[in-house]
Formats: sequence, C-alpha cells, structure tokens
Amino acid sequence: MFQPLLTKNFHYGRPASLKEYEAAGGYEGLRAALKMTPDDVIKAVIDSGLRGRGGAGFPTGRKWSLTDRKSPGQRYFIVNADEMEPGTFKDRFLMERDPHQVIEGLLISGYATDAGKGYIFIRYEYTEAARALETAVQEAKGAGFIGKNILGSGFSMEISVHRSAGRYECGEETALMNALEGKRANPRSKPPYPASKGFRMRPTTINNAETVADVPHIIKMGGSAWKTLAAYEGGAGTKLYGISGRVKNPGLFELPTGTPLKEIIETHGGGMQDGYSFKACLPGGASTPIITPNNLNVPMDFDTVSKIGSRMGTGCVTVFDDTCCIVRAMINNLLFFTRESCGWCTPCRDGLPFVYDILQRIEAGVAEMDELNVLDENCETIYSNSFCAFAPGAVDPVRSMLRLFKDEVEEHIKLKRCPCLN
Amino acid sequence: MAMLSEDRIKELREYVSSLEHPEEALVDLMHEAQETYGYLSDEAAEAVAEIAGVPVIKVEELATFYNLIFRRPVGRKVIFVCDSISCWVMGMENLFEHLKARLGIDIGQTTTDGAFTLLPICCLGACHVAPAMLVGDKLYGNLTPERIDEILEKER
Amino acid sequence: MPKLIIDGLEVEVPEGTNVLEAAKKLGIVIPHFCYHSAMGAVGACRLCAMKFVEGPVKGVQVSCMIKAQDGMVVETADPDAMRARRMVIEWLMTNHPHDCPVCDEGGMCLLQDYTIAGGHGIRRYKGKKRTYISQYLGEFIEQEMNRCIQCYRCHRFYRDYAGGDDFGTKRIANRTFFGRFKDGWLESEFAGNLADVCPTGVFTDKTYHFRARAWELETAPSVCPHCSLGCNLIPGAKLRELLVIKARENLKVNGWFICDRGRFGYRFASRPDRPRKFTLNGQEKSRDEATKAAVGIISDAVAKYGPGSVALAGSPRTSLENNFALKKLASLLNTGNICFSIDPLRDRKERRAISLLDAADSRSLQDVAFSDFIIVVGTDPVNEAPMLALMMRQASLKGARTAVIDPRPVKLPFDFTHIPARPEEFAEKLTGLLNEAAGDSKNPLIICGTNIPGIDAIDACSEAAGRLNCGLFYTLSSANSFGAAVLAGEGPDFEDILSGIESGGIRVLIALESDPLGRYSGEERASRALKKLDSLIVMDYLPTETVNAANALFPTAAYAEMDGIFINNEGRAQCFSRAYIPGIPVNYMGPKLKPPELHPPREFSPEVPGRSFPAWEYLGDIAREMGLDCCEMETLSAIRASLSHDPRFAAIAGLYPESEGALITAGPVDRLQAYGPFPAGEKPDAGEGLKPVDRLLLYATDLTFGTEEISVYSDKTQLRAPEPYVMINREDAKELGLNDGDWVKVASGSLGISCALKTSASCAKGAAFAPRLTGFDAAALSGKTIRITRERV
Repeated sequence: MFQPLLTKNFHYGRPASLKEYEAAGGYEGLRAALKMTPDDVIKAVIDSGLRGRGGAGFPTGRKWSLTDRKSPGQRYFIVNADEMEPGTFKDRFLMERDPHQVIEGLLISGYATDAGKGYIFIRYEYTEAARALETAVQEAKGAGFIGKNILGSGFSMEISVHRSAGRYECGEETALMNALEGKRANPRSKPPYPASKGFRMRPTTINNAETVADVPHIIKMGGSAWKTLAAYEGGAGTKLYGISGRVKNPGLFELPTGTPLKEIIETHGGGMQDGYSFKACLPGGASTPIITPNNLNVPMDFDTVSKIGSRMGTGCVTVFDDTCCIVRAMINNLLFFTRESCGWCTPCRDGLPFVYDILQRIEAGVAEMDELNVLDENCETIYSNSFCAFAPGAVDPVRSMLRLFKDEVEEHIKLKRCPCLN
Repeated sequence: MAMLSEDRIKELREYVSSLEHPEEALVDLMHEAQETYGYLSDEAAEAVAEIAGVPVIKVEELATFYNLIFRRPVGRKVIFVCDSISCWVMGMENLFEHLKARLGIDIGQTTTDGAFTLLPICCLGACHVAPAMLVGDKLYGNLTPERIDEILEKER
Repeated sequence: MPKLIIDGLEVEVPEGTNVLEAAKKLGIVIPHFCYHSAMGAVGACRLCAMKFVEGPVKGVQVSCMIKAQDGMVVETADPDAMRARRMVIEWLMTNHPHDCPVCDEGGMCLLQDYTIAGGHGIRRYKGKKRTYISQYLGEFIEQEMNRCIQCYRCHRFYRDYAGGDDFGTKRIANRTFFGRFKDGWLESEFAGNLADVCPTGVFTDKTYHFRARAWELETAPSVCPHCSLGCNLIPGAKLRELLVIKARENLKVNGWFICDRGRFGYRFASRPDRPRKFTLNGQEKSRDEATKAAVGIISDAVAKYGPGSVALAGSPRTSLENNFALKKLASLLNTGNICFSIDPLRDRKERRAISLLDAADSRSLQDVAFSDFIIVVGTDPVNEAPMLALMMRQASLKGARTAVIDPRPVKLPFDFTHIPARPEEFAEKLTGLLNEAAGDSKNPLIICGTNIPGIDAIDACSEAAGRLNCGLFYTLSSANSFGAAVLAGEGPDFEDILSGIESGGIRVLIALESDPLGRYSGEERASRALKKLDSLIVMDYLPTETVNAANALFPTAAYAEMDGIFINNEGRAQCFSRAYIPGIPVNYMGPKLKPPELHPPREFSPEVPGRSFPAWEYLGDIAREMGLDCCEMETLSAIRASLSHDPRFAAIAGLYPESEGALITAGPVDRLQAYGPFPAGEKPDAGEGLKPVDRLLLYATDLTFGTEEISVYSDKTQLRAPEPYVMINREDAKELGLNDGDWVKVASGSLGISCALKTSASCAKGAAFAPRLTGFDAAALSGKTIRITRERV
C-alpha cells in the first residue's frame, strides 16, 4: 500500500502546527541529518535520485555537490516558491498545509550546502501560504530548529520569507536572485553559476519548494529506500501530480514517480466530465509540449516524457477537452508569455508578440497558408536563440501544435474561421 | 490621502539602515507604501526611495517591473481574474465578459464608486478550482456568473 | 593567446577576447547591438549569432558571449546563424517606426546598417506597432522612444559605466522603456554620450536636431579644446556652421566617450557675434591692410622705444603651432616680453607641474582606469576635467579605493573618501594617507590639481610619486596648457608683462587668443593697464572683451577649422585636423540678414565670406611684411619642422591625425626660483591664533558648465551654468550667523561681490569657494582673505 509522504499532513485542511508536524515524525530528518556529515547528506540525496521538481529536473544531489563550499564567507540556500507556471498548484498546497516540511527541508539543504542563510521566495498572491510559512518559521525558531547552533550541532541558519510582487520571470533562478537583491528580475548570464556566484555574488543553491520538501523523507528513509518508491525502475520517490481541466476530480495527488499519465487522468482525476472527451493535455504547465491521446501511457517522469517529445515540467496536467481549439489554447499561452517576458532579450521580447500575432490571425481566419512557415521559423529561432529558458518554454507548445495538430491549424486557414466555433 | 506616519518612517529607516543591502528592502517597502497610500503614487515612490536611501529611479524600475505594484490609482479592491490556461479551459473568457458587464468597466479600469479595479493575472495556482480570481487577497474558485454576483455583493 | 579559425581564416587574440571581437580583428563585422567594447557583452540582443563547428562550444551561439578558445572553428555565413540574425533584425524592426527620413540618426544609424547586413528586407509582421510617449530630457538630448530596440546600451552606459542615478529601465516585456522617473534634464555630465551609444535614433543630440543629414557633414579627426585632457572628437559642420560633436575613440586617452562640455560646448564657433572681420580701430579692413597696420604699430614702437616695448601674450587654449609662431615672432623682433597665459599663478604652477612629470611616473587618462588606489589632491575632477571622473569610476568598479583631499565638497560618480583640507594642509594629509594605505596597492596613482593646490602640494605629489613608485597625473587649465608651459620655459609671466605695461616700458601688446580683459584675475588692474598701451593687437575667434578693445583685430580659425596640435595634461601631443573652412555660415547669410527671397544667397564668389585663418598665418604675414626671416613660420610643416628641432618636441615629427599621440617630456622649466615656494599672492595669511572662520580664504573654482573659457560662449552649455554663489562650511556659516540661501556680500579690501550663500557640511573649515562665472569676478578675490556679510535673507 502506497504511503504518502509529502501530503500526509494535508488532512487538517489548514497548516499543520509544529506539534502536529512533529507528531507525524517531523524534524526527525533534520535531527538525523545533523548527525551526518554534509557530504553524507549530499550522498543520500544523490542516492535518492531526486531531481528538481520545479520543472527542469536537474539532479538535486549533483546540484548541491557543485556548490562552492570551500570559499570563506556566507553561502545561501533559496527555496523557489514563486509558483507561477500556468496550470501548476502543487507548492501552494505544500506551504499552506504543511509549512514545516518545507522549512525542515530547507534546514537540511542548508546544512548540506553549508548555507547560513535561507530564503523562501514566494509569490505575493500566495497570502495564506506566506502567513503559514511565517508562523512556522517563528514556531521553529522557538523550538530551536532555526537560529544559532541548531540542536547543539554547531550548525546555524537563519530563514527569511520574501514576498515578491509578481512576474513569472522571477521563477528563473538567476532572475530570482536579482529580484531578491532588489534589482529587476532579468536573468543573469551563466557563467558564473549560482553555485559559485549567486545571491550577493556568493555561492547559492536554489531548489523548488517540492524538491526541498522531499529532502527530510530522503534522510529519514535513506536515499536508496526513497528511490524505490517510484512506479518504475528508472524513477525515484514520490511526486505531486496535479490535474485540472474538465475532469471529474481535479486536484493534487501524491503518487509514485512515473505513474502513467493515463492513470493520473483517469483513475485519480476521475476521467473526463460527462459530455466531454479528452483531446490533448499539457503534462506539466504552459511551457510543456502538448501530449495527444496516443501517448497517454507514458510514465510521468522527466526522461520518459522527454522521450515522447514533451517535458514533464511541474507534473501538473492541464487537460484540453474536445471543445478546446488548440490554436486558441496557444493564443492563451502566448498572451501569458508575451505579457510576462522580462524584456531582456530580443527573441522573447519581440519574437513572442510576433508568434502571438500570427496565432491570432490564424484564429481570426485571416492568415495565409505561408504564414505557417513564418510561424515555424519564428518558433524555431526563438527556441534556439534566447537568453534564458523562458522563451523556449513559451514556443515549445506551439512547436508541438505545428507537429501534432497541423490539420486543425490548416483548417483554420482553409475555412477562414475557427473550426471549433460553430 | 493616507501617509506613512513619521514614527513608521523612522522605524523603517532604522530597519533599512540595519541592512547590509538596503535595496533588498525595496519590494517590502513598496508593498507597505502601497498599502498605506492605496497605490504607489509619485510621492509614495519618492518616500520609499528616501527611506531606502536609493535614487528614486531604482524604485521606479522595480515598481514598473512588477505587476502587483500599482503606479496609478486603483479601486479599494483589485479583482485579479486568472487568465491562464487551466482557467481558460474552464471558461474564463465568459466570466471576464460577465465581470466587465456587471462592473460596467473594461479591463484595467476602476468602477465609478472606486470599489473595484479589474485586472487580469497569470495562473493563481488554483487550477483545481478553476476558474479562479482574487478579490483583494481573497481567493475565489469554481466561479460561475451567479457566484461572481454573490462575491461582488459581499466584497463591495 | 588562443588561436581560432573564423571563416577559414586563422586569428590569434588575447586571452579573454570574445569571438565577435576576434572576427572583427579579421575584418569580419557581424551585426551586434548590445555589445559595446566599453560596456562589454551581455547577450541581450541575440544578434551576433555564429555557428561553432569545432571546439569546446558547438552550434549556433551568440558570439559576444563566447570567449575565443584554442581549436575553435567558427562559421559566420552558416545558414542557421544567418537565419538567426535575420530573425533578430526582423523582430527588432517589428515595432520600429521606419521614420528614418525625419530621424537625425538616419545615415549614421547602426539599425539601418544592420538591418541590411542582417538580411531582413521584407516585412512579414502584420500586427500593430507598440508606441510610447517620450520624455523631455533637457536641452542636450532628444528622446524618441518609438525607435527603441531595447539593446540596454543607454542604461548600461548611464548607470553602470557613468554612474548616473537619474535614468534607468522602466516597465517590462516589449513595453520596456528607458528614461527618467519624471521628465527633466538628465543630470549626468556624461549624458550626451547616449547619443553616441544608442545604435538608433532614440537618443539624439538635441542641439543638432534637424540641422543636417549625416552625409552632409564635413568632419575631421579632432581634439577637444575644453579642458586639459585632450579627449578625441569628431566635429561635424555643414555650410560653414559647426553643428555637432561626436566622441572619437582613443584608447590612450578618452576611450570611447566625452563629457557634455566637450560635446555641447561647440556653439561658440557659430555665434553671430563671433569676430569675422579684420578691423583697425573698429573699421573693417582687408587682411593685407590689417597686416600692414599691425606692422606699422609694431615698427613704430620698436623704432621709438626699442624691441622691449612690444609684448606678446599667447594662450593655453590655442594650438602649439600658433604659440610657437608667436614665440618665433618675439624672437625675430628681439623682445623677451612673451608669455603664454594670462593667469600668472596658474601659469607658474603649471610650468612647475609639467617639469615634474617624467615618462616613469606620468600616466595616461586610460591608465587611470587601471589604478587600484587613487589619491586626489586639490582637484575636483567632474568640474575641472570631467572625463577624469569617468575613468576614475572605471577604476573604482574594478575595486580601486579613492581618497580626495580637497576643501570643496567634491562629488564623484562612485564611493570615495573625502578629506576636507585647506591647501596648506595638502602635503601633510597626503603623507598621512600614503603612510597608512598605499602599501598594498600595485598601481597607485596621485592626481593633483593646479588651481587650488600650492606649489608645495604640487611638489609633494611628485616627490611622493617618485618615492613610492606611484603614477602621477596633474590636471591643467586648458587644452594646450602643457604645450604653452613648455614654450614659456623660464620666460616671464603675465604679471611681469603687466608691470612692464604699468611702468610704461611696454607700449604694444599682441594678444593671441587670450583675453586679459575678460579672464585676468583682477580685471580692473588689467583694464587700467591695457588702457595705457599705445596699441592692442588681438587675434581671436571668440567675441571677448579684449577683442572689443582691440586696435587691430585679426579673426582667427577655431580648433575645428584648422590643423594643429594640442599637448594634453599628460604631455601627449595630439593632432587635430580642419573639418571645414571657417567663414560666416550660409545659414546666417539668408533670411536673417537679407530679404528671404535671396535665400539661399545668389551671389557667387570664390571668396569665403568672413573667412578667417589660423593665427600662425597672420603672425607669418607680419614677420614677412616686416622683412624678417620668417621661413620657419611660412607653413604648418615648416613650423612643425622647426618645433621638432627642439629635442623636447622631437616626438611630434612622427605625429599624424588619428594616432594615439606622442608623449612630450618638458624637462626642467624652472621659473620658480625667482619666487620661492609660495609665489606672491598665493601664500595664505598666516593668521596665527585666529579661528578658521576669521580668516576665510576664497578660492575661485571651475565648474563643468559656466566657467571654462571657450564653452562659456556656447548658449547650450550656459543653460547648465548655475547662478553665482559663494560656498562655505555649514558650521562656519553658523558662527557667522549666516544661513544657506542668504544673499551675501563677499569682500576683501576694496573688492567685493554679491551673491547667494551655499553651505555644505563637507566643505573644509576656513575655506570659501566661488565659481569663475561670466560677469562674476570671483577670480579677483581668489587667494584673498575675505569677509562675508549678509545683505538680505
């Protein structure tokens, strides 16, 4: 029987208090970690096979091992809780229901990377989550989990919650560091990498809130044991999967990593609402390429989804039903990306509006067939020639549309109207 | 217009001077000034710059970067309607039209009674209860035209 | 030194060079917007894509972000790379207004050039263009934001390179805007460079607005006449009117930029009241008649009173050749009464300073940027040599510490330590600073002024530099102060000449581009003395008070109108070339002076109306007319040949325009022996036992705008000149019962001026400052103990 880890305290329907959290085994991971060497903590995370839950899937243990832990001076660990990928609602739950789990994860992560200062960077709209975190930080401070010489280990760490003020680009790790420094959240060029010169030009490690929340469980169970929780050989641990759209039971589910997409939609999401049928989905946010019905058996994990030409992203699935026009869906996506572009590089700032315009012309029935080539050329060049991952993410679903829904797109042009509108 | 009190300014100035990097306090200061002044007016932006000890252009650069800092007057509550993909799937476009008609304003405008300003916002992370919107800092999901009417009544 | 292959050609470049620069070295110029040699690579515009075929990096990459490495094989003409470049240009052009016909940048626009070079020709974007409302940024810079392609160069220059804090990046996405918080003058003294760094027409020179197309301009490599640094420029003129100044690259001097005084101070050249006629006692004459008249004047004086009755005053603002010709004439006339500055105090200090510089410790303006510890003694860089402040900022950005020992509340565009001290304390403070701080620095530098510091401080700086192996950098008064001081050598100064006039020994004065009546510190004395002269012969291009008093007037060519050499503060001789033939601008000959139907003028003549010539030609004319052996003054090359026979000037033999210049070492110029360490008028009243406030000593100071001799004749830079004021320490003011803003009388003996009082906490106690503004005779009180009394609150 599958035992939930991340969501086991979610049943309160409110933030689990420190007492409740500890009663369920909370802060045992921290106690255990503080008895290990930082290198052993990193090794456990490497063994666990944990990969970044923010969407890129970079192996977490390896990221930590790259952090410059030798140079003297302050190091930072930042939790990226700037959840803003459209269709994604997993970190909100983690912070609203079990804030201590994130804090414990941050403390262990900070211990492993020798960071004396931790930040939780949270979007401003998450008022409840921010309150829950701030309360939890106070509780944890009172209990001696945060501060000087934590639990007599000699390790000290302070934690601050930073409430941002909007903008998707703040979620890009180098842009986030700029934002935290009180600068405009434009991405930085790499190198230097945050591992050596990040926040305040000091060694900095950044992980998604869910990634950090996994850490206490990995320490408690042992890396290898946690790894085996996955649904398939190549996977690791558990993962929060979300599902939204016209399914019977939209929501968030903690499942073994690599649970097939079909099972998430049909078993956990309850299948399509009556009168609607499945057309396609975005597997993990607005920047992940479309998946069509013939690929629904794919295990939801980074490599497996990449193999079928998409990306798992955040693992929060947005389902398109048969009433959704794919062109309009992409217009909606591009509206988001053109608006949120930080304005730093040309392909993103000026290329995305071009893509948006062509999509609108197609939808309005005024585009010519050869504009599809212009669209394709735009997408391909934006994809390969942008400063950060924002613009490639913006056009990736459009590229998949041109591959998978070419007929539907061409029909718009031939009929000179949207075929989905009667 | 409400102003930051002298005492509060003094407190903030002390807080900022305790920081190694005063610029890092700018976002917090802007939020506070905005809560006090209603929006980040020119005077509020200048006050923030003065407290943080930075040139006002640095405040302006951030204020106009972030969408949750308002450099123009807004209503007592801002209605942020999620217009991202999951809410779009669930019929957000119709709700926008409904809201516009009910409030008698277009996106970006404020009702004549000064109660509401209507703005779009990217995914609120409430896709499981899409379509969703924020009124002030309160989140509402599973929106229907009827529910919107009730909410407007309650929040006005 | 990595070696790489670009388009089949091998190139070796210094470590750290990016591939874009490496290609440039081969003559392969790939379009780029955000990359700028001075501001580095940021990878924002994404235009400079190349295909990396072999080596550590593969695929299509923006070349500015990749450092050249061994084994790289790069293709610039790869189809994928070319597509990337074409698409970037296409994106940039989606919102551009295509208003090139009415854009001042048209014809010198990188966006125009790179649109063609990038391969974008046919517009495929069918959407609406984004538009902006531009801001009012003052009278120097015009903004048209609709043309913006968001390369961020303006922000990176203004904020990062120049340290300005009233301009930045606003808004987001394709609505990103570059401007100020509110409309208003850009405050940085380097704001004009926005017109140069902006690759298109967003920021243009407002003083040049709608005056010419780029291809109509007559240009030439030139050197700035507005301070002693010798920044390189390109003046542009059309139809005999100087219209625009652009910065010219010189990696030993100014780098890529110039200050706003250098850029906008040019409008003296086309003033309607500029002297354009040869006159004799107010009557217009031909050039020949004027020469004959001058010869008559000189010959009479020589015949009656001997050669010593003729005195000549050269100038630190005129070319080396002009001054040399003047010196030649003096020696032909056999008179020793020649000086090259009308400010005797400054003259003595500058002669001293240049004699102390040698090749070992002298530093170029660029070297300043590579210093790691800078001590400034008695100079206010932004106000006395603006580009020096910009170079010091570059050093500061690299981690250099800076300490400024100066009584003024000096402002610099970076963090530094200010040590308020009176000039007599400079040497002591300098020693203190050096003892505690210079030890661990590798490239220390001492920068010393020649206005406020006394000879003792100037000497102390040189001594310390020699002892500690420091760089040494003196700021001087004018573009050719160095050259003038070398020529002056051990000769007399203007003090001596004035005494000669007052005693009746000197009867004729030839003033070469110098204005004793307007600029001598103590105008009344000069005015009384000059009235005693039998004749005043003046050669100038500025409508000065001395020009107005001239018996014989020769209108001369200004720097952009002639070939010449300036020697900058470092001793670097630099050539400037004639950009256009001087004469009355065609613009002034049409509707303004004659009925509109005559515009453009229909009178054709081979003569240029109101033509003026370099002063050395007139001096040669006079010598020839007098029957003297003038072969060394006949032509510019003859003058230069003669100059270069002097071993100190030997280096100018190989000088050519657009070179980096040639270094001159002055050697000993030991005029000071006659005066002792404190020349008359400089040693402050000892005032033993007095509180500082009871012996306030006034110093006349320079400002970026409003005090420099040439630019004060430019209407645009005068817009930034402040109202007259005197500044003292805040506590001193309190003791005197005075407040900031009071209207006060500043007096010493019978001299007095009225102005507003400014107070500052960071001003040295016991010191007072007043800027040398036009019509405000601060200079007369300079160096004197003053009393300040309130006239009204």
